Amino acid sequence: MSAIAGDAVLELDGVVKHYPGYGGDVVRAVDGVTLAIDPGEIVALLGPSGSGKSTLLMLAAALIEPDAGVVRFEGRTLAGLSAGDAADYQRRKIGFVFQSFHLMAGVPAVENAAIKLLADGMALKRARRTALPWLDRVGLAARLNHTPDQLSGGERQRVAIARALVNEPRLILADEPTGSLDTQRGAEILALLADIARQQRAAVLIVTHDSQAGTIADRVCTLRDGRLIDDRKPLVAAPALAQQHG
Amino acid sequence: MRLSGHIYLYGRRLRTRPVQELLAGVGIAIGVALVFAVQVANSSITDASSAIVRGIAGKATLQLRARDATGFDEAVLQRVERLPGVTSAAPIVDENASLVGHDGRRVAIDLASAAPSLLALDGSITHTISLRDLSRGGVILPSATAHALGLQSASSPDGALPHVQLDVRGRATSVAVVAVLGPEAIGALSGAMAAIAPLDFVQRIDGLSGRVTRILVTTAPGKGATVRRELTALAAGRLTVAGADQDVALLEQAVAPNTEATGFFVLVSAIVGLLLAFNAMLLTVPERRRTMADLRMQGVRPLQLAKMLLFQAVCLGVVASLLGLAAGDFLSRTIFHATPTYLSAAFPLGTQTVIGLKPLVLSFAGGVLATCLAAAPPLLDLRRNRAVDAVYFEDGEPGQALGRSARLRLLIAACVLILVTSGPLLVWPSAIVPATIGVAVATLLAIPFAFQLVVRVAAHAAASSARLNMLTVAVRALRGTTVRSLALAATGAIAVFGCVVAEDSHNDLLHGLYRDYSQYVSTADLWVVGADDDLATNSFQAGRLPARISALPGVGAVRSYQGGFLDFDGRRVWIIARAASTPAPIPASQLVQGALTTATARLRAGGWITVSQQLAEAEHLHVGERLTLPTPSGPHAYRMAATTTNLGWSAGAIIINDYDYRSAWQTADPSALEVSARPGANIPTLERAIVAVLGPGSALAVQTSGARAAQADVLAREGLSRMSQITRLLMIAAALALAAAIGAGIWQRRSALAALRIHSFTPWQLRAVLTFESVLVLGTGALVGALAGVYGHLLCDRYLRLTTGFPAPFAVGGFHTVQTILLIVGGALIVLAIPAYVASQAPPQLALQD
Amino acid sequence: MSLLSIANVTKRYPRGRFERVAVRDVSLDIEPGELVAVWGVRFSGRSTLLRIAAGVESPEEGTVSFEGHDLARCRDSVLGRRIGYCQTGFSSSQRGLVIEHVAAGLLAQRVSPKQARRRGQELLLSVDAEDCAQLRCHELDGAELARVAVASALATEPALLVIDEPTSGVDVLQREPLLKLLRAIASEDTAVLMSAGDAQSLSGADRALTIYNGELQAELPPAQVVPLRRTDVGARSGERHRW
Repeated sequence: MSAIAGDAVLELDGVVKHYPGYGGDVVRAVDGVTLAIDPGEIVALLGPSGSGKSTLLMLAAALIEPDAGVVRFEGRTLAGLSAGDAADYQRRKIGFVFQSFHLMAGVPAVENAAIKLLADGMALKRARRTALPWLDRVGLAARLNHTPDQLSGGERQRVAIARALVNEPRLILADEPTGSLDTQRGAEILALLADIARQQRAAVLIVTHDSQAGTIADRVCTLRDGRLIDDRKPLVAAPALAQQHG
Repeated sequence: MRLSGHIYLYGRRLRTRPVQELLAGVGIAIGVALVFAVQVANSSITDASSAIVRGIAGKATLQLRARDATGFDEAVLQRVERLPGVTSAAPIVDENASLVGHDGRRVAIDLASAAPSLLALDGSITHTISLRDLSRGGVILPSATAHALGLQSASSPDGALPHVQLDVRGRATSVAVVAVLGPEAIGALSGAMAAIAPLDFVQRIDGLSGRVTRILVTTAPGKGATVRRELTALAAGRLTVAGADQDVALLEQAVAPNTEATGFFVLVSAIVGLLLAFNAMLLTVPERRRTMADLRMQGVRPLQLAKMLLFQAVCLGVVASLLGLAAGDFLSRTIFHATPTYLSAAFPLGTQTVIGLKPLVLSFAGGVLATCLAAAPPLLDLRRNRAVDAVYFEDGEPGQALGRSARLRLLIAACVLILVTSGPLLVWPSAIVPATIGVAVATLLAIPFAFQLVVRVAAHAAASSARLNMLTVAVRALRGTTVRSLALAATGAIAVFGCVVAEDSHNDLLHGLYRDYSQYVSTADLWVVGADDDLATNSFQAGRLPARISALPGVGAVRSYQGGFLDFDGRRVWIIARAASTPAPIPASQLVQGALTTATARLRAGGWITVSQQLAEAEHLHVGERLTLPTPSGPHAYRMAATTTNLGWSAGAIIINDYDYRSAWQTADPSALEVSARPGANIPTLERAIVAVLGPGSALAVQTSGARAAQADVLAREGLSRMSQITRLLMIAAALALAAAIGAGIWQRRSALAALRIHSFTPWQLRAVLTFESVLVLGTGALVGALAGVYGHLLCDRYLRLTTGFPAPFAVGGFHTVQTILLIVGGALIVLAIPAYVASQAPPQLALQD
Repeated sequence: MSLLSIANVTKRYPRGRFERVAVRDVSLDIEPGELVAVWGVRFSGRSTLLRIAAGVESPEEGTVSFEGHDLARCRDSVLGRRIGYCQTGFSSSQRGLVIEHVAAGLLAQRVSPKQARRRGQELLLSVDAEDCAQLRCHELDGAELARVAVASALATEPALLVIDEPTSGVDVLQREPLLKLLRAIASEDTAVLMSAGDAQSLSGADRALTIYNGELQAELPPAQVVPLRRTDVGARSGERHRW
């Protein structure tokens, strides 16, 4: 385990995040989690609904700040970032994949993939050019100008993956990426994500309830009531990992 | 499904989607409120008047009336009473007058007499006016009149009767108010601007001893026609025999152009209301469709679903329409509650809001029907060849962008529609309603094309610079929500269209009327006329007044001006008699047919008159032909020298030489004196000098021509105020409703916005995207609406000129158009700022699943 | 006579300017009380086949008859009544409480809302999801969603239950109990037609068919269908339920 290794992309160290709940209760969404992810490493985060998985993702993306503990990205702590710095961090270092894709309806795949670049101030033409190879990578070179309604669920998620990768992030955060897909397509999407992430040497944190994720992950962590109750290698070693290390 | 099942399902819907349902309801309510308020306000004018006329006339069915204000010999009464078939006859003297309260408040009223014989007519007035009141030698006021004068009650604490000043026929007299009667006593009559006094009292005050202006007649059953024939014989062509409620019919004729013009706004309001409702319902469509698909899977049959949809639409429609009726009622009693004063010179007017059954039923049924129509789109899913759960396999909003060819076809359809509906106008100028509907519908049809054009231009502009990236994102986002965006743009377009047409036509009309009045009064430097007598139709005994004014230093000439109303062929026509020496008896700008110099020369020569174009058309008259007028001395024929506009009086106007007038009307009493100053004379000094000559007992006022034109302008604005009020309300309603609909759309997209936030869009960038989107949608609507509005304005002006005869020279109201657009678009954007701000701060959690 | 008889059915979908044949000349019979599973990869046409079998969608060619009647004609009186179709993945978009969702279908049968709720409660109990009654649909996990969907499909006591990928989005540990539930339903004489994306989800099926490229292939050899352990069959909570 590489929990405190210096070269980790993302490190969570005793991170705590509480929310006020009903009737003055405190919801311990994340309650002292320590976790590190290395470059090229894929971590699957399992856990029932409300176990704090999404909160953990938001902490990693610097969308919220922890109440206690430290979140570090490439050794730099994320605490106290200004709004601008946080936006820069999200824009340059992070790729996000959602369960419900969140593609813009009526917009061609290539522009959907390029959307982040627009926020970064890149001209539309250049943004399209930058996004092209990524759509190729996810196998959609022939469907660049299809709008989401002309794409199947799996293809939509491929567009979303291209969008997450277009800024060549160091860290990919995926929130139930297979939740809206059937088993087969889910497996393909996971394999694709894992494949590209390893090639890019990006760290990946996949929140899922799907144990399939275990087949591509290097580590499977289980979260319950905000606590990490399990962190282990999957029963079946990921083939890609085996090759790399072999 | 049982009724309880329907109620249960609707209850569930209301609980889960209260905001959507509320928005839809508000859209419908706004439409119903506007339509209802305008209808009520319109019908109230004639309904209130009719209540007053009936209140006085009671069971009387016929009347014998004088053709001028000096009336006829009361000895005629005995002859009428002796006619076979007449059961009773009551003499009345009525006269236009003014009351002045203690604090100087002036109220123009109808001074009507009541003789004991009136009691036999059994009108509402007779139930409560006691002989004691009538014998006390003062006036009885309806509560509305007393209220307008600031009188609290008939008697002060010490028991003394309050006194008010009564101005009639040029004289001011102090009279006691013996009673104030409210609705509990005299019903609708309590809303009248009137004063009631004993016959002999009115005769004395008027200087009309032994004369009456009307005799109301009750006939025995089945004898109506006989009595009418006998009365006609008795009248010998010098008096008018008419139904007892003739005033109502004449008033309806006079307010018809106003009613039609406001009817046009009812139409626009209805379209806007329907579009708003449709828009609001469109927000609920995806969710309704999903519910329907789910229920179908659970064994609910298509017919049951259709019933469910209908039930929910009817529930919503009924509640929203009821709210709309309540709001409309409030509007009609407050903002729209302005009785056009200019009509009071010729008609007994009430102040009550009268709610007829027709507006109520029309507005309510319209609201419910519109809701049902707007709720119908999900029914398309019930088609046989559709998959039951088709809705789940669609992306984004219901219905994607229209294809290129579809947009083009719609645009062509719009052009064809305008041509087809506007074409008939060349032949029949009155075909304005289908033409306006045509333009409105064409506006809607042109929206998809215009929207695409605007989006394309915006995309092109955005591509030029990376700084405009948020515009790029906005343009892209608009592609996904096309149907809703189109519906929103269409709503904005119709609202702008309606407002531009209304506001600009209104301004043209005011402009035309002002030009007319200023020319009409510019013939003299100073006018001596009854203070509230805006059209100078109330005659007075001038006596030695003209001579005394002529003697003043600085006075060049004093001319007597005579005017009045003549009931002629179902209209109450304005008669203007001008001295041959008047510099320009025909206002040049108001001439429609005929040559000004010839016409003026002929008018001065005598035997010739000018007639309003509409009147001439109704009589099938051409320049040079003869028109016979029913004058007080019998029928007289005049030749028509020219036609004019209606000179601002909707029933039409006739200009006649004062010599002809005097011989036919057999009176020399002027209704105004025109005073021309010598060159170099100081007008204000002269004005003061004339006031001094008039003395304290006079009810006459001295006005410069400028002041008189300005007063007329105020009056015209007041008379047309409803038009601008409707416009303003329409603008506010449109801005609010657009903001609500766009806001709801933004709110529904919060999770997508949250996803963009995670993709590092800052709240500022999101706000820019949302603002660009809203501006593009609203801007398209405003642009198309403004263009259509200019065309509609052109049509409307043409209609006003040709059909109603009002002077309305066309001028593009550039400033007003821009103002209208800014008010609607700007207003909507300001209201939108709140949901946009909140949505731009959408917490990123919304994009996640946990 | 078979309960459901699909004969030479073909269905195409437009895809851009082209069209895709989702189901090609498929024939299939299902008997009362049978649990039939259709197994295939994505785009194999398995979902389309199920939608056609349930009457949700009509085929372009071929006929589907249910209880001897042409389904194309009697769809509206059969779907959701004699045939229960489960939407597992989509119910999460529903707002409102689970119990309301389950009870909604009963309203169409002139059942009063109160009775419908009571019956809904019984149905949830019968599928072991009684704890979900007062939750909102989006608060359910995959297995619970599937159970709720089954409960609402069973509300009208159908003769055939069609369920597309019951195990999709369901945690591995919860799949087997779900399959047992379906097995138990079939054993109580309601035929079940289900689809699956992987071979593990075929457990308990009487017959397992492979669909590939829109065409129905041979039945899987019984050896490949993992049987449920005997003791598990019919081990649903509660006593005997009425359907």
